[in-house]
Amino acid sequence: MKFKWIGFSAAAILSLGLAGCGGEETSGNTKQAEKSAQTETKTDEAKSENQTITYLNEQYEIPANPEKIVAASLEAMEDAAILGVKPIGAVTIGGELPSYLAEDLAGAESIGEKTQPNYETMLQMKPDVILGTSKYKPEVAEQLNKVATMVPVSHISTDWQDNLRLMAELTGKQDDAEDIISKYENDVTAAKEEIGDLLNDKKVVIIRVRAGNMYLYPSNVYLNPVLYEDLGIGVPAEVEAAQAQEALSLEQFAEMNPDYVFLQFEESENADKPKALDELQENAIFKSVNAVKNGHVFVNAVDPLAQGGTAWSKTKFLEAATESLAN
Amino acid sequence: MHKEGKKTVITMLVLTVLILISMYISLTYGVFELTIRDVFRTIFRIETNADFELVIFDFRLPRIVIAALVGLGLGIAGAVIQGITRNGLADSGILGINAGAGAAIVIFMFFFQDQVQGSGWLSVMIMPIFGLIGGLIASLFIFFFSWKNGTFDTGRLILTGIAIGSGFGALSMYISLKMKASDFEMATVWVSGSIYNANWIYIASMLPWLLILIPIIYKKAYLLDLFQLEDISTKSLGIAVEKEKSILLLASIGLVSACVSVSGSIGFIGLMAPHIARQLVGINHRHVLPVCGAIGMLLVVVSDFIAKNVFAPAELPVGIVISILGVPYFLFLLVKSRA
Repeated sequence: MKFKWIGFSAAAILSLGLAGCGGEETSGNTKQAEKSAQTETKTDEAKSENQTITYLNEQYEIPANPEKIVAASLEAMEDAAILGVKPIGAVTIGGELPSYLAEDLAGAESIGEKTQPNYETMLQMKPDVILGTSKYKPEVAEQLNKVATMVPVSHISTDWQDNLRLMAELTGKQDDAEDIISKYENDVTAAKEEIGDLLNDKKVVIIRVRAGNMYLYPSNVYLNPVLYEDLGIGVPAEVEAAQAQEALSLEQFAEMNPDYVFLQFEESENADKPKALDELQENAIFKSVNAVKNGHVFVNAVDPLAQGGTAWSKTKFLEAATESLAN
Repeated sequence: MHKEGKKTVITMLVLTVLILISMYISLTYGVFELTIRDVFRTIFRIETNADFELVIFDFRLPRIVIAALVGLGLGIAGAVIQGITRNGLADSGILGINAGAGAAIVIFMFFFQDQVQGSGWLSVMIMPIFGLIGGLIASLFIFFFSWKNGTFDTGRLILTGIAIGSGFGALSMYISLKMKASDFEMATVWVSGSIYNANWIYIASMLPWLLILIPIIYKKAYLLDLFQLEDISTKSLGIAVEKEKSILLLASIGLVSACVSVSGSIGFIGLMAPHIARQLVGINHRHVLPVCGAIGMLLVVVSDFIAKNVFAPAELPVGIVISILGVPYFLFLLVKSRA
């Protein structure tokens, strides 16, 4: 019997000392919480030097000349990186800035992992604006909006110019943004000439390995628009048929028999199967397709964490793809 | 009997103090720096600072309350399920209720997420509602397959539960593979069990279930003691075994679904809390149930505090912390009871 209480006091020590306070307060506070949210918005409106920005047909009220920007999504971080913007806070992976952006974003503090940004950390930073993602669930978006105005940066690849212009407008780098966009368009034209007729009737696919499986995306998702819309490469039937992220079995892959394969493999997305990539490349069926026979498989042409639908991803991928495909 | 009652009172007192201490620590300690004075001044509204209020009322309190409610619900439901099945290994996870609720939420994300935009009451509430429906559908299946010749067979109950559980698990897996990359990421967080998304609306959505179902269960607690006898003996005492078992089981399924729908699949509480409680206060369910609830509360509140602070600003899933904390204590109790 006595022994049991020892176990108990061990649990007590675990939860640390200090005298208790009443738990009674918890019940009546719902209303107070709502009230505090209201006063919050009122004080925001009271600030005189606010500006209204329009992004994808929605209007957002933010301070003029925002200095403290939190990039709470990889999309926003890529936009910040390519424009040379230094956000004060950014998403980390395993506590570190993603290595492909670490140099450009040096100095940004961690606000937590991308799926669970830490509200208290962000509040501590007192940001002027939070650039989040349209992937957030409504309750997360609501909490973030209480910290500061949160602009849900679109994760849809075709919105990349709007995303870049949003970041540029916030930081007064509109000219840089237009330069990046026109440079990209010029690069596309140049790449088309370089590739020429080389890829007529060839199948080019981008495959992402997640949790040990191969996945295809629709032609307007992820990095795909670079190939099929910008470079005008023919869309393979399998990509055409994809509705969302679609698993691709080895048999289907062999049947498709692509001529060029861009394989994106991120270790943290394959935590259970870190060797999936090696196993895949050793697989006899995998080796039977044209792309492998002719040495046209390109692993991680851009960093596998790259989101695909941002100016950063598109620019880097266009570069890598042109180089790989033209040879 | 008298001695047992006294033991329960003492146990409950100790647990209550521990729960209050852990709530107090969770409230005052966190990434955003607040002094103890700030916390009290904000709570009692002596001084209002918008940031402090935000931290306390919108970020910390909802999580603490949700943690406490989820622990309470899962602990009590676990005791009931173990009592009915007369099986110390049974819990809501094994009965497939978690999987059912999980599948429903994944289905919701897959088909309807895009239609529901904005951040109003409805869009926040709709996911828990789906979870609840999923849990109830799963339990209806389990019920349907466990009836045999007009009786309710507990062996079949566990077997069908396991089968239904893996069925729904497979379904959510299949759907999440077909998901858009973005929804896929969010679904993973939910499935691993987290109360990161706590808010007052969720509390309002789960509270009625607890307020209605826990008294019902407590009122019928004596039946759980009788169920430990053979069914024949219980029947000969003039108890409508099937009916009472169904009521108790449905009540605990309601509890679990309500909890799972807001917190995702937090495992292990329903399995562990009843064992710890029985070690502490014996086998009388009138004593076991409240202690179970209190242990569940304590475990989840402490675990959530650790989950959000140890690697701050990153978070651990609370379910993992529960296992890390609970398993050694659980094993300690098992070893001790053998001696």
